[in-house]
Amino acid sequence: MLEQTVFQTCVVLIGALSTTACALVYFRNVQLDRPAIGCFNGRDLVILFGFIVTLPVLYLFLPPVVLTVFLVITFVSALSIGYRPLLPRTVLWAAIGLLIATNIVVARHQLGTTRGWQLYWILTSVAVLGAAVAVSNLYVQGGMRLRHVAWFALGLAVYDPIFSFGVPLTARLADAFAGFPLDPSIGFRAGLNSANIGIGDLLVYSTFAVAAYKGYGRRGVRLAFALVTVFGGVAPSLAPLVITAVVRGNVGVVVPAQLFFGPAAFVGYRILARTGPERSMQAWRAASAAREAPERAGEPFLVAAG
Amino acid sequence: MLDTGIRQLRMARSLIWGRPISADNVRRLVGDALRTLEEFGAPGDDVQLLLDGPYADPELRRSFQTRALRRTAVRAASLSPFYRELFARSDVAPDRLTLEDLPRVPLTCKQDLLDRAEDFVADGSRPYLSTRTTGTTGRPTEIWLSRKEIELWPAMAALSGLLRGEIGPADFMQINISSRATAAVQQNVTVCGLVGARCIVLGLVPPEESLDGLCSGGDAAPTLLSTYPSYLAELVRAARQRGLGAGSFRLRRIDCGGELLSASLAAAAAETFGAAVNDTFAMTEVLPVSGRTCAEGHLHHDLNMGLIEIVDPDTGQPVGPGEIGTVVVTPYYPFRECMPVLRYDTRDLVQRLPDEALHCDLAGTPGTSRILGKADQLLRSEGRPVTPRDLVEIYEALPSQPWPARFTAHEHDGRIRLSVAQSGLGDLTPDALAERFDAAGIAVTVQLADDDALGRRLRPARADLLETTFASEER
Repeated sequence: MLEQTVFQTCVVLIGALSTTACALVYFRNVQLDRPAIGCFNGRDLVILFGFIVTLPVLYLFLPPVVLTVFLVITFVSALSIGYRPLLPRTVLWAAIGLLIATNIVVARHQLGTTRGWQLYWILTSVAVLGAAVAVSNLYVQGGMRLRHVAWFALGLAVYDPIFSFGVPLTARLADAFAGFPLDPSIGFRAGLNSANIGIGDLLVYSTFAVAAYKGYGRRGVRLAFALVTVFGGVAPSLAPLVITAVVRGNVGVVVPAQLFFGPAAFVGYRILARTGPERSMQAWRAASAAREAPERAGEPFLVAAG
Repeated sequence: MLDTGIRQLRMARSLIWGRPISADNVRRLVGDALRTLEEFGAPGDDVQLLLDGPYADPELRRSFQTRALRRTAVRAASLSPFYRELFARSDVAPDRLTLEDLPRVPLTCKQDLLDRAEDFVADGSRPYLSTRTTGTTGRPTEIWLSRKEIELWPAMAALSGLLRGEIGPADFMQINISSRATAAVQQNVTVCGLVGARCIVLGLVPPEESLDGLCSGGDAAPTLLSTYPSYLAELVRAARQRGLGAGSFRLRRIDCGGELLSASLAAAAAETFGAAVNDTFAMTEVLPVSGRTCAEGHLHHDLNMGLIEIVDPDTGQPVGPGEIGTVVVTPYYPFRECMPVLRYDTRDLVQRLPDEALHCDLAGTPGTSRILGKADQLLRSEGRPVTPRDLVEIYEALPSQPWPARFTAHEHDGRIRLSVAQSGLGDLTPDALAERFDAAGIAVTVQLADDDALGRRLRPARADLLETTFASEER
């Protein structure tokens, strides 16, 4: 159990922190296209929550082929939108096609060995990391604010335990996706130990960190990384040691991570909100431009972004 | 964001299929645009596509125009007594109308509206507000608008204004247009309300009072001014007499329309008030179709709302590139519904631009020259057509700055006889003025007319519709 817990902690921390860091790098360097009119608002949050609640149910009842098609469309959409500003069209589509095709082939034919599983997890993790980075930026660059993310995480803090302990949907979903092409999670396998973290959790962490950075600069991102590390990575991974309800005999553990992260994220947001108003995209860009101008001119750095 | 997309789809569906446009939906889009600007500071990258509509592509433009034209003609033929009669007499079927057939539909002129105004009101529509032309070019025409129209038009204008950066919540508009121009005043006030800007309706009060409003309030002084060129001329003169300059005002844009705005007056206003002067086209009879002038001086009509034709003022046939014609406007249903007009001859002259691609800031929609004046004021000098703008541009560029231009012009022995007041010439002699016209290729004989205190006898202008106030009497 201890070995599995240590392994789980490492995998979850690597997944959570690498996704969050990549999302931040992306946010600072890539500007996504946005529609002429439109800004993320509270109603979008409700719609998003609706998807979160209904999609897992749909996943469970869809025939495998349909589910694969559904996942392919989801990943292709996220990756094509997210990396269109970075790669030439032909390179982008070739890369996405190769990534998804190899993922499907490996999932179908290579899972008999540990090496096969490792290859499967590497391919899946790359696709999931890329998608999570793109989607979190799509939200935040579309106007999603830290306030929205905090409330969303708080909502998930209620949803997650209900559908983990009350209605064991999350566990069934984890079982259904095990070894399935494009399993929406980042994970790894070493020997008998296997661990993963779902794309939903990764999205919440990366969106929270990017929104905190946009809204409150460096102090926001420092707090976000601390919360992701402690409440998004360490606490859920160590939970099986103290919460037996998440351990399912020898079939693994399913931890409702948002139970830990949701309240922490909300408190974190309230702490940041006390320090001043949350910056808009416009204000963030102005602060970035002000910060970059003296750097370009080779002058001392005078204006802090955060 | 998702609900904004749904609203845009609803609006696009109405525009494509010609269904009634929900003013409430457009007002909500204005709210969405405000939130977008608050968050991002500017609309998204494809905003120009949204504003220009599908009209940059000639093929698509033709398809949309034909559909909108048929829809408008079919409705007018079935609901408007005037057009029911007109189509009954004509051999043109409204549901098969094409852009090529259009010249076979008789033009509607101002006299039709004056003589049979009630026959233009569509059956089943509920007139709500009447707006009249100012009557400076003849008897005032009365246009009835439905409640839906007076809700929809400002909402559309507010959305367009916000996305173009022409108005925003931080703006304060001073309205110096005739209080009888009900639709224009109502539209400006409602637009300000929708975008959260402040506004003050002063009307055509003595210019001194308007200036007081423009230069008072410090950081809360007006940023936008809506007026007529002739009244703007009065404001420029009054400001210069008071020694006021660009630093005395907070204006960022001056919207002028309804009269000819000369380049010299526009430049003087820009210098005096420190604001861009925007020469717009709007006409009560063809509301809500409007036009805007680009940086290169072309007039671009809003093709989303109506069909624009340039026709020969005498024959009614389309003019060729480079030729002068009058602007004929057909406002589309569902934008115009209560009192539809088809092929309304504005008698406003423009020159058709050569059939070459434009490269101006409004190149997404076809353009013409600026308005050159009224068709019944088109003169010929030694066989060459001379438009009122030709005369006004030269006259208003005189060192005496005789704004607004007050003169009468008639053809006489192949030349133009210009009657002007000596006060307008300043130190210039009539012969010296004639030489200036000669230099521009216009053969003119200048004669002095008796000075008129208001100049109305020479050339009435909208600034003459002055509204008195108790404050002005006390000055």
